[in-house]
Amino acid sequence: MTVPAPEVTRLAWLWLVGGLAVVVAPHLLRLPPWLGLLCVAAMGWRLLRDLRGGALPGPGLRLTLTVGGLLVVFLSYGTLVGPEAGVALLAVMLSLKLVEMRGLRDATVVILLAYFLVATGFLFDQSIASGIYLLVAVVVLTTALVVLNHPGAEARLSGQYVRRAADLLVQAVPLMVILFVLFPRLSGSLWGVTVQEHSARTGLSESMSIGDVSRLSESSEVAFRVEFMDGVPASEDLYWRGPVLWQTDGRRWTALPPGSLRQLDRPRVDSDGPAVGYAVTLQPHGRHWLFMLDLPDTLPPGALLTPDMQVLARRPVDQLRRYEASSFPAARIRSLDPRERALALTLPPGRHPLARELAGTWLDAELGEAQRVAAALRFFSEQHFFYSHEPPALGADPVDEFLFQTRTGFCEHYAAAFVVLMRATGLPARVVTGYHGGELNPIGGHLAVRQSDAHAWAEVFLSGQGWVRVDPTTVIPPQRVSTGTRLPVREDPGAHKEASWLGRALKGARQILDATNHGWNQWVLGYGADKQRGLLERLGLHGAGWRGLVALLTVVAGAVLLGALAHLSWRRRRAVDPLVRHFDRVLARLARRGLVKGTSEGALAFAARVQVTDQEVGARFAALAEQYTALRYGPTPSRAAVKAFRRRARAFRA
Amino acid sequence: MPRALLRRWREAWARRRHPPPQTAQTLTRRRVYILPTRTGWLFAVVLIAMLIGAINYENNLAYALTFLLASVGVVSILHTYRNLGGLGVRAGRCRPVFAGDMAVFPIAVSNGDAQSRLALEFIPGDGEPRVVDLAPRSTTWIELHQPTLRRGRRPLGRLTICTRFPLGLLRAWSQVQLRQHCVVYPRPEAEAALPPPAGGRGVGSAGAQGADDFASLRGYQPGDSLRQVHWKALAREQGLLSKQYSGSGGGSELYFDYASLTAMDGEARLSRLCRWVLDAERAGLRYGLTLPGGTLPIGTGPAHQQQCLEALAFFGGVDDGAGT
Repeated sequence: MTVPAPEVTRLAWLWLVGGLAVVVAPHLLRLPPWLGLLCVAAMGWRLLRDLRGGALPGPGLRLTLTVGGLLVVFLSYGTLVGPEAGVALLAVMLSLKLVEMRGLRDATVVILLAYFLVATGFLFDQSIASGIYLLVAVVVLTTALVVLNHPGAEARLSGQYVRRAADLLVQAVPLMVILFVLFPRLSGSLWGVTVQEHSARTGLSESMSIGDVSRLSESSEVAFRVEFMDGVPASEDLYWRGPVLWQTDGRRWTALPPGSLRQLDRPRVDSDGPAVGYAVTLQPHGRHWLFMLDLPDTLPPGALLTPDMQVLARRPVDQLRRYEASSFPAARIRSLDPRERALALTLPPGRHPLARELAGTWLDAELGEAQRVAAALRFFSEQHFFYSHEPPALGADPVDEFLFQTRTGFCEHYAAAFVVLMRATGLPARVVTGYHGGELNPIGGHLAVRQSDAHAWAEVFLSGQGWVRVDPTTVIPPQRVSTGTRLPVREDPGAHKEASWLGRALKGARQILDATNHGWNQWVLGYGADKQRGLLERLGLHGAGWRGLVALLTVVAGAVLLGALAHLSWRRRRAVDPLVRHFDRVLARLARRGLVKGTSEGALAFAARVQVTDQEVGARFAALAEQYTALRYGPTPSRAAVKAFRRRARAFRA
Repeated sequence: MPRALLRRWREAWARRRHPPPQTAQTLTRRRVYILPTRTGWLFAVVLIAMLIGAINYENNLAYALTFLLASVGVVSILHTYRNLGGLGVRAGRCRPVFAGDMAVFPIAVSNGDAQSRLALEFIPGDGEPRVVDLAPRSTTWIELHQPTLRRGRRPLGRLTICTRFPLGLLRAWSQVQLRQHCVVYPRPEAEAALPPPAGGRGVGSAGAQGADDFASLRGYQPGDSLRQVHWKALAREQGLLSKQYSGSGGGSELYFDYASLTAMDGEARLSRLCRWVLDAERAGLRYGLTLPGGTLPIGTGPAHQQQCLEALAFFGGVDDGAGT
């Protein structure tokens, strides 16, 4: 017999198109505009068709659409494989599928693939907001599936459908959590494909140019968050080391190319004072940098240390990464390779005549090494230097112009000018970039370092002391900080002095948000093989490995499922009067002898019938049946009476 | 002893699984089966692809989504099962039909739960499936149609009740055999003149269904000849009406005898007799029926007609006694 193809109601189509629109929407921002337009057009067409009716396209148009979609994606990405092109292809194809889908099967396939499209959304954004949004998408898609499976779907029942979908999802949460925690995690991907994470905004780069019309990054986006094992170090120690810039052409400063870095010897480091232990949760930034406090001691697993003490990851940080590390704030790099010394003394020939002249005066005065540093800093503090986030553009010789004309700049200007002055006096010097400071979050207890905390400072090599950090920006007196923005160094982490209640409230709100994000990073995004191992060890399963996990997963998930089943059947059984249950057992014994009570037959009538067949059994059963009738249809029986009945029912033998 | 015990268990199990047909049954847990549908397998494939993606990109939210959907799949087992488990079905009384017509089996479907049950599909052995929704704590009557080919008793046969609600990933089903049957009368012959009344001569071929004297219109009844149907009224969308003709045999007594129809084979004779019974009753005549093995005395009225038609239906021991 053939069953006619199940009809899909209009309500189901509308939910389906709506669900797909919710899922595709965040992808539209990433897709090339014409692809996005194609998706929107396809969905709009379907929506109109479902509302107004009309014919679906024939096979010719279908083929054209499919080939066209493939072609457009290929032209946009140059490929059809890989995460970006793959996701674009899926989004476009699903949208185009709407134009021609007709039966229940088509609709179901579209919803299942839309679930997959939801998952791909997480490749590009794993924030809390994205999580919530895509959860809503899952609710809509699941509702669409429920509506689809109800042939008599009516719009007035929509609330019921949504509730059913929500029920399913809520009831699925316990099992999901178990799977999430206990499913064996691998460290390292299967075939090492990475996604080009969102335009990776950082306040740092591998180079800096002095004097271009530029603004300092004022983004309050968090670069990384740090939890200290025991107490936050003092502000003057909170220098997070990033790229070290050695080379300059007079305007642009750049790091050493990786090749030449490898040729340098690992420097000798004296570690004085106590070590500081901390854990960093680094937002993805698309570079290799792992930020650590000066100077790095214990590196994160798999990280590399360059000779200029920068910590690098083997692969670009494309995903949220958490690492534990420790540093010695008081440590010094004692050695200086001759090649390093040469690099650290090089100035572009013929540039910065005024700076050289100034340095010459200090040399003429026969100042010692430390005195030359002090002289340069005094020059910044005593002359009229200003700190500004929006300094004027500089001309041909930016360093000379900054030192003797504009005298307005931010950390990069000061660091670069200072290093030029030092090199001109014969002291090896280099620019170090990174982050400085951070904001202590009293709720999460962590330090949030933002892109606006990006900073540049200098290091000078003093004989007998090694590389010494000098931050020339700090010598600018506060009254000469023009933009009203804080000087990074002046701020004490954790100190909030905002006077107005509004400011305090805003700051509080920001801190709550930050703490929430940090918790999300720690417990949801940062959960992986390491944390899983830690959890197993805390449960006393040392070295159990993935076998242990699978065993534990089976046991826990099995227990939960059995519990649910038991609950279900217990609830159903309990709904039946115990008297009926006991009496049913007696009836079952009789049925085994071929004496079956009719559905509409009363207990007493049946007893009479049994007596006809078998006098002896019938008499005993009749007594039971009478008692049963009295208990069940009389006044509510006492517990003891029910118990006595149970005893008699159990003893009954046919 | 253990062997005897084992056998007893097995028999008890088989009886519970396939109990003898009853007029009312409840779909208990033991009788509800559940398996993934093709959509369910496809869902599993999509989840596996998502899991591979999550592992490859070490993406925790993709993991979370995969596990959430997998758990939804598991939870939907319970939902689908609960949509069917505990459902009560009770057989109603069937109206007799003529062979070749659709037998209509009314079935009361009851939901004792506080939750509604949606998209329950009732599939009879052959015939159109019915899809039903049930509100919480409610009973609904459905009618299942089954074609009839032969006269006699037409049981509903094995009835499959299944559901894919809510997600279509799983199909829960149960098979019940309700003690329910429809009495199928022989197909009345299209048109046949009534035999002469008792005593031999008289009305003759004019019969009760005098073709000339149009009397009135009344609602179509099963068994009415197609020639009687007032087609113009149907075309005017006034429904099926039958034209009534006044017979001229009022008051006379007719004897329909199986043995008198010598020129025809058995079933054709029964069709002829059926036609006569219907026509005589409609014309308000008094009539009796003689079949080999028994005679129904002269009488008239719906009860008499039913008696005659049932005698024709069960003639020759066809399906007689089944379920009585």
